[in-house]
Amino acid sequence: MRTADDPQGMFNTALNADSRLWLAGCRSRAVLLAGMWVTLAWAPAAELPRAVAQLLVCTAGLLLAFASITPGGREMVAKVPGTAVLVNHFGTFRRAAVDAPGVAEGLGAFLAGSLYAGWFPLPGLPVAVRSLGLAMAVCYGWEVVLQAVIHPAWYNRDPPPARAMRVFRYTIPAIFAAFITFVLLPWSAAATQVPLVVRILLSVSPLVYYLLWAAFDIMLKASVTSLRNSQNLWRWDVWGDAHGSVKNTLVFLNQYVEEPEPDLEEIRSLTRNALVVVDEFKGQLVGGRAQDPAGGSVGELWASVLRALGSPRRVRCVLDGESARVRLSATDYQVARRVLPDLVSNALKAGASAVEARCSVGGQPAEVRIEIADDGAGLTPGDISDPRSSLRMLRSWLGERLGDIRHSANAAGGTTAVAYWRADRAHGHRPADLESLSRADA
Amino acid sequence: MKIIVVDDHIAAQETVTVAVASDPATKHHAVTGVRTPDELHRIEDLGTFGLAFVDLDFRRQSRKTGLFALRLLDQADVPAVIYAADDEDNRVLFLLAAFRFYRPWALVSKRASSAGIRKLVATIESGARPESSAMHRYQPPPRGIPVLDRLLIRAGDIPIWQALATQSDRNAIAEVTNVSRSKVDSFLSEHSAVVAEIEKELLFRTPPEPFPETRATLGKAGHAYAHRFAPLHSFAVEHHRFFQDAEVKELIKERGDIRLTAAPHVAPRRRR
Repeated sequence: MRTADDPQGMFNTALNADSRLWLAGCRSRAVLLAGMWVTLAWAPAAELPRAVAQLLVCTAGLLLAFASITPGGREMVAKVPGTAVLVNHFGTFRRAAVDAPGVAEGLGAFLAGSLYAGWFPLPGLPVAVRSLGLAMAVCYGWEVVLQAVIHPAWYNRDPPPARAMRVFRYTIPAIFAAFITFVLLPWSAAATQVPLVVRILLSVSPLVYYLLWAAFDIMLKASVTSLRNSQNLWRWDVWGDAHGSVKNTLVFLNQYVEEPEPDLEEIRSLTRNALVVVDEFKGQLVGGRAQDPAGGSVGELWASVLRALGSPRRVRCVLDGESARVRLSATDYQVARRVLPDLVSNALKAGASAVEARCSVGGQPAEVRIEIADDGAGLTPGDISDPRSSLRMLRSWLGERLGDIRHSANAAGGTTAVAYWRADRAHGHRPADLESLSRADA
Repeated sequence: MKIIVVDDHIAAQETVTVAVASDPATKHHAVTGVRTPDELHRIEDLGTFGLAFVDLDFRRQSRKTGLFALRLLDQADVPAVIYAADDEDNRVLFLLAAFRFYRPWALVSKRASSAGIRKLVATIESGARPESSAMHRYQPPPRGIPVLDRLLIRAGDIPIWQALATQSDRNAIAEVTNVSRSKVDSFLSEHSAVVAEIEKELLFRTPPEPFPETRATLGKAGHAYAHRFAPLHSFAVEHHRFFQDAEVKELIKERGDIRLTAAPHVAPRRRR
């Protein structure tokens, strides 16, 4: 249970970490480079041209490094004629390879270090300045190589780094340590001015890479493990939500279907309700729709109803803007979720090309009122009086909540259906069903 | 008789309403409902109800669970039946707790037919306890320590179960719960048997294969640790909502710690 066996997660985490580490590294190298430029103030005037030239290589390498990770940086470099080949070798985080900014910075660090020690150091620098300059140059190179050691491409599995490259990764710290040791040998009198202990410390410093590498890997694995743990909990939570909404809705539908004489209209109504619930669940899962324990907005319900019925593009369905902002309690929302799809469905079945909806909560005692106006063929008296029609069933259902459905013919054709019921207690009133119980008791 | 349905789905209330209304013998019952356990607080005459159907999970509407509803109904002396989908594995601990602390009158599946609901209502109205074979699995045994008591031996077990769900390393669990590593190890050792029992007897799962010997599990202690940790971690993840439930914490606190050596069965303190 300790290890994270998720290579893609490791790579993604390394990618996220390194893009920030890379930028932070460039900035800290910029500070070191600025320090090296300052040390030239102590250089003899005759040596300045070549010293400047040496530091310019390092500066160019750093600018290339910035360009390779800054948004738009590559395009900016590409505008300079003849740099297309260079830009093509800027490298990526996906593949372990030697890239142009890395080579330029490595060469620049070597040339910068050569100002203070090695084969052709600047003469006449104070010992402290020389030691400090050398330390800054080594640190500069140190950071460049560190980024190569913890490059995200080492964790990529698509494609994985070549075996030779993976072996090379293990040798990088040792090679770099040997290189610094070689450069810091007392090749000249000026180089010997740098205290031996400083040269030894700088020479062996790349071996610290192994520790940093191990720490980086541990952090990566820990992050991926934490992510996996969170995902596991999240999966169970999502399943719990799916069960609470979608599965329970289907269980009740199934339970009704299994009854001895299920009514087809009621099955249709329950099915439409289930489709709306599925759409709501999708909205909560991927659509950024907030799960509101206190109920929901009519606007969101309306959108789910239209998607569930599959008719928003075929027919012009409009919800009044003010109504969209109305919030219903949990109970009223669920009642509306049964009523609204049925009324819209009836309008569509009547051949409507336009459906307009309104919803309000008001009155004393408070009532929820949903109004659907359409330009369809209109209802016949038989549609309403048919004891097996969905309207009859809705009326009976709303009757338990001290409500009803009324229909009226529009002057310009079509029908307006108004469904209403006593609002839930969340609106500050005694719930309708408890009131009906009280009346029954009386 | 007045019946109240405590369920976040209005369809649950409808189902019970239709069931009792569709037969002359039960038509006289009046059914109402609330969407969350908290809403029971607002019903002034709760004690006048003759029966309550109680769901266990209200996550879409409330942080409270059915255990809290059972507490309120118990205080109001209202007979309660659990109305839940017991086919969901992550409800098992809630069911164990419900039957350990409250003795509900029955366990009714949400797939129950109208005829089944009517029969149940009629039986309870007559004052008899309905035959409910489904609930036998969750009832405390007549002898011995109930499964739930072995799972939550003491109140201090709850934070460790919570940490087991979110962490997959014993050191992290020890840090999060502020206990020693050896305490975590002894917790794993103490609870592995009851978890295996729940998995086998209540969830009908086969025990996992022993972990293969690897470098990470070399040594007797390491092997035992890995062998116990994985199943308990998975168990804690699956049931994390139970271990996070404030009502569970309250019930365990009220119950007090259990001494595993002595085995007197403590009967539910509540009558329903």
